[in-house]
Amino acid sequence: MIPLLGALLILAFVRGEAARPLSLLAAIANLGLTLCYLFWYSPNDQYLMLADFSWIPQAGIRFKLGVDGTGLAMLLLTNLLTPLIIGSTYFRKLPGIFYGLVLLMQAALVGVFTALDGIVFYVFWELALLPIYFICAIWGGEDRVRITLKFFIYTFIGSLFMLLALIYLQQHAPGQTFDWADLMKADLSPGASTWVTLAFFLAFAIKMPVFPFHTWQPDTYVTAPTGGAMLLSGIMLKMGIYGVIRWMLPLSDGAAQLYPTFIALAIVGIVYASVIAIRLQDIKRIIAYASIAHVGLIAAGVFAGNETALQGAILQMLNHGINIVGLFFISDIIENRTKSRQLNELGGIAKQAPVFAALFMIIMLGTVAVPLTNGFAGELLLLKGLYEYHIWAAAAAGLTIILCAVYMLRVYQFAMFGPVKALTEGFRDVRGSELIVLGVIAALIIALGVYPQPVLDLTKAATGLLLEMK
Amino acid sequence: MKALILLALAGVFTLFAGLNASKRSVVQAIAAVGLGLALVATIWDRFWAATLFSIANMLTFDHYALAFGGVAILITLLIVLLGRSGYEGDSENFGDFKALVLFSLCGALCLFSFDNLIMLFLGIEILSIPLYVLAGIRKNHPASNEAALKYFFMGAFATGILLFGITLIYGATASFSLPEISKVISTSEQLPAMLKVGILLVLIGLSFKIAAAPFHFWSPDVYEGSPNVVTLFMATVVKMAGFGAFFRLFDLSFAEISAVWAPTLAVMALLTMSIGNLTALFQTGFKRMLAYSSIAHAGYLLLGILACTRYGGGALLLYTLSYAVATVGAFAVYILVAQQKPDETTGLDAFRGLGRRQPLAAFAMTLAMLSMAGIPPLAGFFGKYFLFAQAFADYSWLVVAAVVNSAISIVYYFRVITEMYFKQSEATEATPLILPAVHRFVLVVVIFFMFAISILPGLILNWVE
Repeated sequence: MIPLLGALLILAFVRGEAARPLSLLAAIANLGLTLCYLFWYSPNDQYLMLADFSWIPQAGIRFKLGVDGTGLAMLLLTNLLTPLIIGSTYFRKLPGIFYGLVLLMQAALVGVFTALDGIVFYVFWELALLPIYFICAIWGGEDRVRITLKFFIYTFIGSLFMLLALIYLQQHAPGQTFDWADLMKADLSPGASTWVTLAFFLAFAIKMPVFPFHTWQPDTYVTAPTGGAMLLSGIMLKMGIYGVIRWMLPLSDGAAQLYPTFIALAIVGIVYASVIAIRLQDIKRIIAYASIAHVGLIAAGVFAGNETALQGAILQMLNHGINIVGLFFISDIIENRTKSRQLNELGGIAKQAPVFAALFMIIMLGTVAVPLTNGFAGELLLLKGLYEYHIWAAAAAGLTIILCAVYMLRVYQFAMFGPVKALTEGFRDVRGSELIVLGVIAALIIALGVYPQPVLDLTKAATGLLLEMK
Repeated sequence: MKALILLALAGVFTLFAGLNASKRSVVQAIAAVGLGLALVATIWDRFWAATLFSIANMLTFDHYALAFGGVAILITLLIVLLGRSGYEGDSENFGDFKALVLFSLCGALCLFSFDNLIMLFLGIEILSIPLYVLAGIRKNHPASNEAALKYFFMGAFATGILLFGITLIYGATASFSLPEISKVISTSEQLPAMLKVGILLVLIGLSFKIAAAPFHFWSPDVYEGSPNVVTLFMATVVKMAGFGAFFRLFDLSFAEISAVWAPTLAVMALLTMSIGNLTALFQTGFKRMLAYSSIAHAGYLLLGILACTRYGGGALLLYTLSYAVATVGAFAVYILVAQQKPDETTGLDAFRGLGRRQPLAAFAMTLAMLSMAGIPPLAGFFGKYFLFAQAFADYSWLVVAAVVNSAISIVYYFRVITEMYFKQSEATEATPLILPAVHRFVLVVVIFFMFAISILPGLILNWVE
């Protein structure tokens, strides 16, 4: 899979004009390949497409990649969203480089989600950061240089501590290798396991982001070009959650006594971000805070660590990716047409663009987690898992849905209904590639809402295995 | 050994060829061929020679010496290639310039292979004396003269301290030979105070040479005042020679009594990396920034001397190689940019808009900065990884400090990238920068190495064994 990506990547780098269709083609080919794996995958398989080469024998590092159920769900997320993201962006400025970077990012993400060796994981983890940095800093909005640098340093500090944790685990692992299975069996003293857990948490919490490590996020999302914001929120923050599932939960001597604190932080983040989102005027910023809230719920579920919550988390990662890409695309369309993202300057769009309004409605409902949309199934499982963990955790986390309804409906109401304002006069309805992308997203939202079972089947075996390892 | 002779001969030939000032290309060719032959000879000795060459327990060309020597010759070759267009001195001195670089490299080779404290001392002198001249090779330039004078005073002072230390060690162990000293240390029950003082003085003397804090004050001024090519040579080969000697001495002789010197060195490492990085944050000139960044790198490298249990000198070699390659790349681009504006202090804004004016150079510069910052998948990451990983067991606090420092260094390395790509330039937008063929070749080699090292770091670790 990765060689294919690499080859196509160079292709995208070489051609300037034709970059967008070519990269779209590459991304769709990748999606096709992923669907094939999905088809071949049976829960009994240990790893699909295991690649295992000797790399740096002196340090016990092997170039080891493989896909299991969890990884496959993440691959599906990555490779499903990348074509949508490519389809929903259009750049006049240096398109070849932009789409090349998007594909490089995709390749790195695939690496992250399939890596079975600590250092390979780390290398891909950092590799994913470089393209997004350049995307945000070249194509971003006002004050982009400062904000993207802050973002970069923030995440880089987190990952450096993760590197230390990995090195520490390796030195205490049986066989002193970086192999994932070995690392998870590392023999740690209680104090050391607290440090290792905290180091991992720092890296993953910054990436997600969990309160109070979220301060880079709203600015970065708002400044980033829409494609970059989609990549960040749709896929990249799932790296953090995936990291927790793959690298923290199965740690045999992991400091589980810290998890309640992490859950509490996640829940504080949910409420905090939701309350801010209710007060804001800028659509893109509201989406950014909504993302903190939703990811907070997923994070809380992951740290609860039971099977229901984990399954819900993986399903909800997929759902959240789809929804947030849809939301950013909607805000991008509104901004392009009206040159404004402020709710008080918008209104009455529904009258002029009914198709757009209908599609926005579906995506919005999916985000709010109304039954029969994708968000419902995922968040229900998450809340059920949290309920199994502790009733108050579930009660507090349930606020996500209520508060989310408040701010999303507020956005919808202010932007779409009411009198037509000067800026929204002559709002053109969606068509062409916009219609296709939004249509696909809406269809996915309903399809996964009505019948989420295939994804759950996919992750059931894998989450079971992860929990058994502990 | 063959390499040493070849280089000395090449230096002499270059000197004679340089008498005729119009024959720059001849001088250049002799120096490059000499270096090329020396490189081939070193590779031959390392991989195919049956026996190790050793002279009278003075110099031993073991695998460690050959690996470091080969890398130093390679880097010098790249620098010499850049040196034709990057040379800033009077044209009648061009031959002397090349010859002095070659002679200085001979000193570096001695420092990788010495078995005897006398050779350590001689090596340092052979390395340094040409450098004093090189720093001042722009004869009519005040900054260059200042650099030469400062470097000379500091160098002389450090050599004095080093020599004093060597004498004390001789007094305590009655030998200059490293194996002998090691034997005396392991058999004696109580270490004489004289030996401890001697070791600390040697340590201080070497720290001057590698510009480790608190003995680093000379280096920014000297780096800034020297001609660009000479600064590059100091930042790469000379630094490498200093560390090569440092490691060899402490690994062969004083490894057993690390309790005597390790705490001092650990504190120095912490100071060096922190001072280097924090000061680099506030620099506006590119050369000064790189000077402080090179101090910071010396701090990381000290980790390799403190803890060399697992990979031995390999980690040090990998780090110096990746650092040197990145520095060559950065300076190759800087020399190009600085030639556009012959007036003195070239700030970071000289790079503005380079991404459009000269994409290959900007790309190489970006990779160099990312590599120095230690971001995977570039060479610098693996250099850092091996140093940090092997030091982590014993000096975890120091590694945590090094990690925080790496994060700080992002700020100033990325400033260059920001200038090249994200800032709009006013006037120079339209003018593309012409890249001479030699520069292009060097940049391509540098880019190749930055990726190749990160694909096969294990191979390089093995070179020293």
